[in-house]
Amino acid sequence: MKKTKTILIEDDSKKIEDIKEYVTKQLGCEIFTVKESYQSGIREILQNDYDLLLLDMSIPTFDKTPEESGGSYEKFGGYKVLREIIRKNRPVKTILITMFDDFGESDLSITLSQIDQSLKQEFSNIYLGSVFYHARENKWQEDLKTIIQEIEND
Amino acid sequence: MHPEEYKKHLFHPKTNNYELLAHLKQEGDIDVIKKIVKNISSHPFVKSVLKNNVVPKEFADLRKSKAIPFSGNFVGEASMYLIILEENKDVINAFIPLKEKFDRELLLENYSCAQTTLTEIEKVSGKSLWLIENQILLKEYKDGVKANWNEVSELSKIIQDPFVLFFVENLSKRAETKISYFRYLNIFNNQVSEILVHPDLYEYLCFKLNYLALPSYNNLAYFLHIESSSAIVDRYLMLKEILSEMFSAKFKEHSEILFKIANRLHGIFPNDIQLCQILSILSPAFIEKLPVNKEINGLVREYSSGNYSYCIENGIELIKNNPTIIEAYELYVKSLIEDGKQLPTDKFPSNINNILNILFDIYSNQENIEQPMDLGLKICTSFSSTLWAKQFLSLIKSAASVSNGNKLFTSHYLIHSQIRNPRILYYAKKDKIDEYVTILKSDSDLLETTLTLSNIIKGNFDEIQNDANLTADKKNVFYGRALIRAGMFQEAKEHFELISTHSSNSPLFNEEVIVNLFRCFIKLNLNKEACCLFVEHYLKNKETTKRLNKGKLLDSLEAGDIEKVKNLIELPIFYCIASIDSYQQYVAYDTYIESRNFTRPTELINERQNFDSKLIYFLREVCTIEIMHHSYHFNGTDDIENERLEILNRLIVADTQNEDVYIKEITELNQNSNIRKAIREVNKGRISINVQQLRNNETNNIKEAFSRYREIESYSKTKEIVGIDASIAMLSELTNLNIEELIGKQVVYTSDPAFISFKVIFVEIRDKFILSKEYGLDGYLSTRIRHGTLLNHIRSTFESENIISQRDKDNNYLENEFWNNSIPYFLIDKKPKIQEAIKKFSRAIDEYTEFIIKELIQVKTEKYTKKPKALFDFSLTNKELAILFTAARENIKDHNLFLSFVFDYLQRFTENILSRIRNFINDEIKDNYNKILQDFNTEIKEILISQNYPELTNSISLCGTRLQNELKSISEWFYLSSTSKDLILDLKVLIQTAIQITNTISPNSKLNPTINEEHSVPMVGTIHLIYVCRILLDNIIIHSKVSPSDLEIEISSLVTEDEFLEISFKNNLSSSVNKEELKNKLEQVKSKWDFSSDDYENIDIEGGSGFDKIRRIIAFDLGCERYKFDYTLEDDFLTIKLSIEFLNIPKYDEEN
Repeated sequence: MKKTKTILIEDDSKKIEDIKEYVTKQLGCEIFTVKESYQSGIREILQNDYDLLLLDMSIPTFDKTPEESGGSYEKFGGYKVLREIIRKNRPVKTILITMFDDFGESDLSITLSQIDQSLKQEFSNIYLGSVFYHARENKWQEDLKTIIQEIEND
Repeated sequence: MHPEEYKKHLFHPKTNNYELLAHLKQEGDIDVIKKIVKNISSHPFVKSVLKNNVVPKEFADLRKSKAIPFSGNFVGEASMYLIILEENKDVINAFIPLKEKFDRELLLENYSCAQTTLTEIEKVSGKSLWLIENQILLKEYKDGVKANWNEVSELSKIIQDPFVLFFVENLSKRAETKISYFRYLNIFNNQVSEILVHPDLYEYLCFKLNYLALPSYNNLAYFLHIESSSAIVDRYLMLKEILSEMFSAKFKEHSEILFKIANRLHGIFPNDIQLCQILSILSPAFIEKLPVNKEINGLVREYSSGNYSYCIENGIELIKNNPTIIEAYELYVKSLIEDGKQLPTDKFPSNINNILNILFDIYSNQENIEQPMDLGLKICTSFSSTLWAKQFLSLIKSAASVSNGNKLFTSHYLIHSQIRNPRILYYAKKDKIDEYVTILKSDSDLLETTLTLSNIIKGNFDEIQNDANLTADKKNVFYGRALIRAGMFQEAKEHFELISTHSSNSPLFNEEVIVNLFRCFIKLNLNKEACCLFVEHYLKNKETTKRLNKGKLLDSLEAGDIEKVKNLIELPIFYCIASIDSYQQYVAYDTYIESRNFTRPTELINERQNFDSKLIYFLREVCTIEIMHHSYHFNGTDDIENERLEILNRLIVADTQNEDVYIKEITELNQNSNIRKAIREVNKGRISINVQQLRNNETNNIKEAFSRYREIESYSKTKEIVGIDASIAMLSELTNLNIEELIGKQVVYTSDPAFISFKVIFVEIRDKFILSKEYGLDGYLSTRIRHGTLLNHIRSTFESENIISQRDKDNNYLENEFWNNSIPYFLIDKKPKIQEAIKKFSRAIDEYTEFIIKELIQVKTEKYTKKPKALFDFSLTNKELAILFTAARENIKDHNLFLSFVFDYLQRFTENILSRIRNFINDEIKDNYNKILQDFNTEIKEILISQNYPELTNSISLCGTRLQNELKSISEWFYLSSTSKDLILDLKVLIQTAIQITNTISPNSKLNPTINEEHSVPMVGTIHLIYVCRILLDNIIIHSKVSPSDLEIEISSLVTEDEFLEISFKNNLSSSVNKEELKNKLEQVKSKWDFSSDDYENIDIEGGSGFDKIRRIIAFDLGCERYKFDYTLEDDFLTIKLSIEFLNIPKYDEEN
């Protein structure tokens, strides 16, 4: 994926480091941008062309700085990003990378695979699939690689 | 099973007879069940089931009989009801007329007659939940709330059954006139959620006690089962209400069963009007069985022909004679409105008056309908066992919402009616309408109304047009409705558009026109027109749009292309009113703003010359922070808030009638902004050294030492030393010089007396720089970081997700109540292990944080080595000092310059340390915390094995991200800042800032103090006072021993005449606090403050009350010479009062 222009929207610094390390060094992606909030992520995608979006589901509204608390935390901010890029007609192939394998509450919980299915349905043109990230395991790397390879093969 | 087999099993000694009857219910056929029961009815068990405790003699007997197990079969459950009701029909037949009489007398406020009737009812049908309900209701209305409570108290002494007691308590609250409907709803929900009832039981409780709490009901068979232990009266009423409920859409396919059961029941109780009404809706054959009320039919006739004065003239008497017939109320109120008259104030008893007033307010589209609606719902709920209350509920619900399409009543209105109402045509099957019409019009009083309704329903618009009996307004509305019924929406649209231009004084007419025109627009997919119509009328009087189906338009806009209406300001306004999804509202807002080529609302304002009502509404309600925060055109919270402020400033001028609202919001925004600024200052100013004060103090001390050094230095010059360029400008590069190289070339001789003299002075200043109790670094580290702050910030990350436990005074970790209360049933067996894992994790987090505080966030030097792992390592070797000496000896001749040299160096040195600490926090400390969190995550997953508990596992994952962000923020504290004098806040804001910081870092102990502030004095240097308030608030949380929800905190501030600022913190204390011990401690603090002691021995020790730290802040950071500490301890309330000489505080200069 040397020439795949990739953007990651994620606010967890450990996850950012791990994904960046893997995508740039292992997968050889040369153009890799990180944005840490819904706002900065959307703005970046609207202003620049990207081939691939690696997206977290829960993100803050604004980038956190000493001057900015980040605004409200968007539990499904990733979903909002997808809706906005479709609405603004800036589609980017997207992979969801999340630390949650289950959302919601026990009785009414939605598993990652259910979310995955629902995103595939709603954003069938751009949504490629989901990866469950775990800081201590590296299975996510294999999963991410598999999805990326599928795009490249296509 | 064959009937004979039941008999055989029944007589078998090992048969569980309850199970056998449950099995019988599962047969699911009324006739089969009836036949079998007949066959086995001689058996004593069956006899007892049919007769036992159906008429309980005592309240204690209620629900005493054991229920036959639930069959899950509705017909089976209902069949048993029918059999038992038939067996005891005399009781119910006696009950029916008496109940009617009681309902009537209660409404008319003839309380003694109602009481006598209730006693009679008790005689014929025994005790029942219905009796309790009405006994309490009667007491409440007759003798007031105390009589209600006494009744409850008496009943509580007799009744043991918790289920019945739950009813008693709820029925009492429901009857209380001073408890509003919405408050009762909250009370009910809280009670039910406390006892964690099964969802089916919850439905049943709502159905019985709070019908409106749920939009619809599902498990009707289960309701019958639960009620099957109750008295016969309760069972009879329950079965009828369940049959009524079966008219809801979800039971549409069960109309045959409904008819069958209702018909059987009607056979047993032919005088029950409700059953007749149910059957009449299903079949015209029953219409004739409905009672004829000549008086009311006359009213219907006159109203239909527009003779409103007749209705007004006769309405009062008619209502008094027929107080339980809601149709009379409806027609009377509508006639008053049509004639532009007001309701008479003193003609009716208060209950009736309330009903009339509510209907009047709703139908005349009065603004602020919420209060009358609440009262209406309250009346309906309190009197829910009556037919009239159910009818009334149907009317107010339909007239005030779109829940019933465009009809002004639901099927419940007809089911609970006590007259022959021609409106039944609306619910009749299409192919049966003519049969209904034939029967209804046989009553001459109903002839005209029946024909008109029939023409509307059948879409006979020509007949309506030719009807000479209708008034012009009625003809216009009915003609349009008939067009709609005929599916001629284009014609109907044109008709309603035409008549909408007619001016009519009747709000009923005007509302009908709007409702029907809107309906036509929707049917014709005219979204733009529908949207404009809605917004136009909403802005004129929102009550006129309450029956417009916003949902349909919203769906239509979502399904269609919103872009087609993008340039309409009505679009975002409509979404703001109709949608509860703020993202959806934003999309409409953004679509409109973008269509105008703007990025933010102020650009739109700048373009517009005039503010019309739409623009004002758009700016006021749509362009809010909540909606705008979705927009990517803003750069952060400050940017959005500034935009909103600008909008509000323009609105104040353009919309003067809402000036107060705008001023309030502006004040809040400014306050929030100030608090945010203050918090930023607090965060960036944690590491500081009061260099100026140190300098002032050291100037005299150093003078003598420096001149001695200079003398020695001149002398030592005679030695052969290689000269180096050591100008001040080189200082910045000093730390990068190759030390070994300098020493290796013998640049400096460490035995040089000049060097030794230099070293003594330098080290002395350095020690003061870091260790001075008054101005040194360690004092700030103690008050601003170590004193609870760091621990609280770290814990807050985990507390916000409830994954950390508290510990007791013996350092034992307590159970985490949050997970104890919320753990699902299927994980109950894993609870102890989960709790142990949380405790282990909590201990690991606290121990590591304490290690950071006690061992790492500390200072050390080469001789001060109490904390060997201290990160603030100011140790200087001879080599480093030699470099400094070399730099200083040639160029610094003056003691002031020397001080600058030393302090500059120390500040750079500190900055280097801080840079290393920031990295250390973001690397090693972060890794260590992550490891603890990951271990915890792994342990929880091992406990759960294959089961899911996303609440807990997600909380742990979320904490990982939060922790990293928090550590990043904490690392930002480690910058050197000078004590801020820029921040200007008034006292209230600084107190609020302290509260907000405290609440952020103690999310589970949120404080809500009352602030009494006599003067809003703007001040500089307030950051120090924020620290003072923070310490005092922490004291309250830690030492009061009162749970946060029970804490009563009052913070007062005033400026005395002699210009002392007095701040007092008052809070309640737990009775477990040792008051004598506390008093002694506070006395000691007071005397220490009184003598302005220079002893600040505790300022670098964490824990305790922090009063030494406060004194240090006042004396040195605020530079106050006169200050006082005082306290009062009375009746479990402690007040701490600080007086600070106001003059010495660097006050805000008013001229600025």
